[in-house]
Amino acid sequence: MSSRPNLLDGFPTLSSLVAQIDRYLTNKYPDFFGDNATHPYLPIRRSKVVHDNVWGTNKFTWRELVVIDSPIVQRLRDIHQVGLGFQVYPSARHTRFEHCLGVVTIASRVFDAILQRNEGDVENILRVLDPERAPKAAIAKIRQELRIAALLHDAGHSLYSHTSELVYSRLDLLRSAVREIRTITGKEKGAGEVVSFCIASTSSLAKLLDRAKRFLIGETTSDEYTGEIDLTNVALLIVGRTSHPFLQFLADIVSSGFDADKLDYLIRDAKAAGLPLSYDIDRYLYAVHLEKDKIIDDENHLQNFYGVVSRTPPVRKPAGGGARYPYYESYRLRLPRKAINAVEQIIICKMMLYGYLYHHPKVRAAEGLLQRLLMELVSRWKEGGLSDRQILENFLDFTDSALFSTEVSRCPDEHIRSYAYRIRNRLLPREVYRFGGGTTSHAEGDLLADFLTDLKDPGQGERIAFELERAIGEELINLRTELGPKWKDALLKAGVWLDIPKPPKFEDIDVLISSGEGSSDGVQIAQVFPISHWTQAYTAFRYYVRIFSFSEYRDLTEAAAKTAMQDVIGIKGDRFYQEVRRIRS
Amino acid sequence: MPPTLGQFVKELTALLEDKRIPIPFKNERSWHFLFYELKKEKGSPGRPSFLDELQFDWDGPFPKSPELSDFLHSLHWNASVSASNPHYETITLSEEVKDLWMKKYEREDANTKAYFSLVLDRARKEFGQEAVAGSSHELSPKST
Repeated sequence: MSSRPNLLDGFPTLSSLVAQIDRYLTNKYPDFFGDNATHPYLPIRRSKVVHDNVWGTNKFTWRELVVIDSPIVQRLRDIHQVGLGFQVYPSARHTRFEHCLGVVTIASRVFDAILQRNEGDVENILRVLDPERAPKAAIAKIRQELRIAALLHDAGHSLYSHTSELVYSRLDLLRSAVREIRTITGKEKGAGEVVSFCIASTSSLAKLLDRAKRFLIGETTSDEYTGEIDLTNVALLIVGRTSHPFLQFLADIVSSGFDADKLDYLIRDAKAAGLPLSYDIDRYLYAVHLEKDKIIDDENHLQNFYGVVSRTPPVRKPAGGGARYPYYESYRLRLPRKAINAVEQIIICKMMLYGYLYHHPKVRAAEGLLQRLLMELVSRWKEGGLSDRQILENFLDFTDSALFSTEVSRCPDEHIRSYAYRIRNRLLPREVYRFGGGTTSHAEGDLLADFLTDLKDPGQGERIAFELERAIGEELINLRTELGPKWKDALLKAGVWLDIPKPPKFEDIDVLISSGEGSSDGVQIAQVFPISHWTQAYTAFRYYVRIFSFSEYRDLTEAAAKTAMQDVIGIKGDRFYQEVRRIRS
Repeated sequence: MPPTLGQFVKELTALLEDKRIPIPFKNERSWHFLFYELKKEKGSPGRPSFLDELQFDWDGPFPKSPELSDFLHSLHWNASVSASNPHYETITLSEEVKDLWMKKYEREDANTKAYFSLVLDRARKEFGQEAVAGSSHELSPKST
């Protein structure tokens, strides 16, 4: 198995993180990853079929099966795909495990659909980039790497998926790793993807696959790839890059605005929740194709990156010909305008899922409670002397069952114990106030607009949210002394916080729709159909900032939060507070 | 305190509104071109330090700052005319919001105001240029 160890040279956090995860896997699962590993015990079939309730019957190769059967992927069986969404939609109990298998299936379907339309282009690309391999074998290689990347794209997840990611992403270690990935790839990626990248980069995984080869039985089939794969390519796909810009379409399949991840989770989440939402995947697959496009590179991220990872360094063209900065020619995933119906359906599906499921007030309440529980747990670990590295290992140990573990349910910290009890028994906080961009029918709309935009200001959003929460906590103590002495204690006791969800993003789709001319910057999708109208209207009317509180402190919180908002936001009139208060009637 | 990204964009939009310069929303790329150029051009008095920290993604035909993009979307849905009836081509501030942010601008020091003046001039050119470029992509009635 070839590798390029110098990719992470000069990136100390990522280098040490990969080494640490290697040690972690070796120590935690010695039978899979240790020097005397015993898995696999028995001969391995070259392929197997797995049945899926969304995508039907699908075949997996021996490499995929070895990874699936390892603890790296098996732990995902105990991580719910939509976090605590099952507290509102009881049947939404599907896990990251079946999602990852689904992404493998749909990623290769997209790849195969592209081949149907652009096989000649792909072969020509591979003749240049991989001249020693026959084009068909080179195609089989990148297809296998794509599928392994799809399988591992969520391997870094911890309990209840994105809720825990929000907590561990605040560790200095992960902040540094995210910065380094950005420097390497020239793209912003989340902490979960960075951990998945590190897992795919471990020698533990490479050794497991190497060892498994010796256990293969049966004859090779005509569609089997018998050569080696490059796990560096797999890791790069997870963070949205490939070793050459001509192959960037592969990264579009794994990590982009319309990637296989979304194509799977939109249908899977809706189906599991019992929501009648879907889109026409066949239409999408019928239309998806490759198109030449430019990737500009004025800060030299890509020049440095390709200089390290590419065996056939690409030509960086100077600015000109419509490009304001130096650029690389690239092949990207595109849909023609005639497939716009499928795109519309995907967008509607995503908006509805945000409104009905991901941003449902009770789901936000449950996940907010869990987030605070985990933040308290991390504080305890830090007070106990644990380093960020040890804390990250705890998160790698954790799956959803950790909420029921003695570490949590018998924790000496009263808030951790009681929050876990509340989540398990669905004793969730209630909305006290709810407001958003559409809440403007009062006289002080300018102050609300100022506050809401400040919350999204990267330079002060966190500070302003902190100030409002502190003001509410202090006012709670003013109203009821026993909630003190510290304002943070008052918030924890009353289950109060300011909830600021991330709104759904749609802007990446602008570049997905091709001009129909074979090569372009893409056409603004808003010029084809009114996506902006839909998404902005959605955000104005369905996206809310909320203040939550435990039911027993609801009235107290209403009074405290009103005083705090009058001080911090400056809105004085009663009418606004009557408009945005949430009462059960 | 030096302005943050959000404060800077808010005061800039108030100035643009005041000068009746259309503020693009749908064609977001001109914002990214403007801020990337501002990031590159160091040395002007009053230049806010957040520009040095602003990160851009390199994954398409223009540099894209996710932070700027998120903020523009927030600005549009929270502060454009009235969120119950926003325009989609442009960001158009309500009079009250514009006045509030102009007051903040008025409190800036002389250097910062001079820098805003420079940016306003750049924005006028950049946004105008993009409007011309954007129009070439418009579909003919026949093709729609």
